[in-house]
Amino acid sequence: MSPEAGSEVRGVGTRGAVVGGYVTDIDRASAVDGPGNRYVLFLQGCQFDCLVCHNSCTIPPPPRWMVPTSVDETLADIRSVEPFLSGITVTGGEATLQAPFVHALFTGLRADPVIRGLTAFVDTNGDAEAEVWELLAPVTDGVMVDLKALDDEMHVVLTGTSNTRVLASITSLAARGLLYEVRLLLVPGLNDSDEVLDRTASWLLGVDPDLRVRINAFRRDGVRPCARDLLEPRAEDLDRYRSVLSAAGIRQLTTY
Amino acid sequence: MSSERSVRRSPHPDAGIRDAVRLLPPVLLPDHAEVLDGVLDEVLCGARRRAGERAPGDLAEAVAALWAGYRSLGARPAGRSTVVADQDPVPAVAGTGLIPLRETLHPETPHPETLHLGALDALLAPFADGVEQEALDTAVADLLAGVARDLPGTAAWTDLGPGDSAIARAVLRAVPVLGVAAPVVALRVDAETPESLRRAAVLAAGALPPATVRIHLVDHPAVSAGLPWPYAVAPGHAYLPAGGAAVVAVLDLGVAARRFGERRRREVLAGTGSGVGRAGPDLDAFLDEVLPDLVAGAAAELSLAVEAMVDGPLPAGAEPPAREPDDPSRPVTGDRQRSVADARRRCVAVLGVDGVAEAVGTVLGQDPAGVGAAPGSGPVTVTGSGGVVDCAGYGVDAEAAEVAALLVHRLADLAAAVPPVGPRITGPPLLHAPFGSTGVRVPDHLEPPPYNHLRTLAAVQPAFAAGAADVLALDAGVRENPQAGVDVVRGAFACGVRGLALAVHAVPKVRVTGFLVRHGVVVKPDGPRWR
Repeated sequence: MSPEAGSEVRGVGTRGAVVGGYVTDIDRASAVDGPGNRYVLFLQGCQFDCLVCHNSCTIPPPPRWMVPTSVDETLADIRSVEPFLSGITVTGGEATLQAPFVHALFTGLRADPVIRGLTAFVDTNGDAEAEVWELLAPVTDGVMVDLKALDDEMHVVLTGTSNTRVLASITSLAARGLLYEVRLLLVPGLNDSDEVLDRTASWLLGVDPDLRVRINAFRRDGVRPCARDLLEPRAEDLDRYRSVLSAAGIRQLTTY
Repeated sequence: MSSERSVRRSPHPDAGIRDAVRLLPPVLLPDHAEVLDGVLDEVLCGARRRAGERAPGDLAEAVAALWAGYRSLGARPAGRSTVVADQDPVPAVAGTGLIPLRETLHPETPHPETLHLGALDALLAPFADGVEQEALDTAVADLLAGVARDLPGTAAWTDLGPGDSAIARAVLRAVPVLGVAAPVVALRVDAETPESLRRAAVLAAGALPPATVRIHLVDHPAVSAGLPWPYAVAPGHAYLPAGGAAVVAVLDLGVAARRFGERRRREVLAGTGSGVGRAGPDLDAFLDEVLPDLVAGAAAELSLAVEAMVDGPLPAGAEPPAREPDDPSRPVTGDRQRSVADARRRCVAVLGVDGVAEAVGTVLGQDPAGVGAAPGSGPVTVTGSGGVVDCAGYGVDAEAAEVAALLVHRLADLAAAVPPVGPRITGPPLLHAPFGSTGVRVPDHLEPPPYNHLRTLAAVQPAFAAGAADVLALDAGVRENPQAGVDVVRGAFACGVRGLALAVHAVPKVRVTGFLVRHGVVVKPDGPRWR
């Protein structure tokens, strides 16, 4: 892949036999990216331009100087810490923009006798075509999807993009039994009203009555200057979110 | 309490009383096994006497008896504590006494008074059958709260596991409620310990304030394999004989290494030596010349301490040999006398080791006393008994880890060759690390990556047969995802770590652009965080 390939790998095609990933960073011990302790790959590049992104340096496509990391290299690194792990999670940026790499990595994981017991998860913004999930589904154990807003208009405000594909991905992944969790990034005054929360919960329960939902409270840490005036949820706000979502019927609810 | 329940359980309490001698915690002094026996009267038999010869029949009575016993223990005067001044070249500090009484394991221990509650799950098991979990939770929480309330300033310890039990769950549920007033709970785990019980332990650790250590997980098969007797986890995260005794001396390797470095420097200046600051000659000399002297000196200190304790007068608070509760004119006989004798056979000597990382820094030439490097300039800076020092890449570079392992294993070998240090002391001294395997507390934000930390510990912990107070700092995410903590501990045990205390990071971390960074880096302490 070339450094500017962010948009070219949006689908499922590859450019050559050797697939590498543009990896911004690795967290080898994460308690917040899926079940258990996980090895997390942050991939470079995202098609969203979220106002509240705290990983904003991962939004641009991979720069020309960035050297792709090979699947073998990544697998070797995972093997070195395997005793401590439940699984691996690929996030970003947006992981599905590098779907061929993710597919190759997960396939390699399953073929490796040392680490085949680890689970493979994707943390995504959900803005992926159906064929991306077709590609990844056979080698993926679970997907965590961010839902920035149920209302398309607010979604555009928050991300610069429509949520049409996000909602479709949530529905499709749930139908495949791959939807591990939906994450609601809540920003006071923008997408956290009782009415919005209730409507969001109703829609999610329509997708899966036992859906696991995580409240991601907006934090100013790491966001761009234009978002630093936004409010962070207070403790009582978080209590209200939990209360409204629980009352709407969300039974598996966590907060980060 | 229903009469049916009393009748059904009538055989259990007596069995429980007999077993309690083995289940109660280690004592630090052989003759105090008799005191312990007297305490048992107070704990369980006393309750029976007061109840008109009726054995404790239900959970409430058993809890009340235990609580009375603990209170009785806590009210006793402190056992004797002996502090031996530094004696060059053996900077040893011997702290001796009786752990179940009010005692100091080490003068620098932050909790000067300790009280071991015994293995609560085993002690209360005979009374818990058929009791609703909610009632158990209340009874156990009340018991532990009573200990905290009536014995303020006392650090309480208890052992659980490796099997699952409603009592164990109740204790773990009580920990977050009690917060810093909770006892330290050592959960011994093996292959049969359910994941849910391990998660409960991690959840309890996660629910406590940051950097609060109240949960300790032990790889039970690994620890048991290295010890010839059943162990209890005593203050200082020490694995000591359950119902037995131990006498303790602590070696400060950091001080010894600094003195060694200063001596070598004087030799160089005087033209009678060479090699200051070079790892090879200094390391060999430290291993071959200094360590044997240190261990021999510590063994002598232990012998003196045992001699003084065994032959000297009973310390304040000690009592004459236990008497039969029904006839105070008769000493204890039968099973309980055998139990006392058995406890005497399980008295051991423990050699505490402090300052390993500082010693590594010195022999690798990073200690200011050795080569004049500025404190704090090394890869990892720690605060140890010698002040702020560099630790030669602790947990970061392989050479430092190798040297640390060499030092500790050589110490273990030397200690293993020491004959019993006194009458009634079984076997050679066992190594213990009261301040962690590296002998220092690495500041939270300066810790090496977690797996490096754990692998460094794995290389040295097996040498510490009597345990090590190593702490694993957990991400606050374990509060929602305790399995993450379970995974890390399992991996650590698979790598050779034998025991870990758990605490949530003192410095909160946030994720920014893919990196976990300290919260203070991105938010000024006095800046607005919440609206």
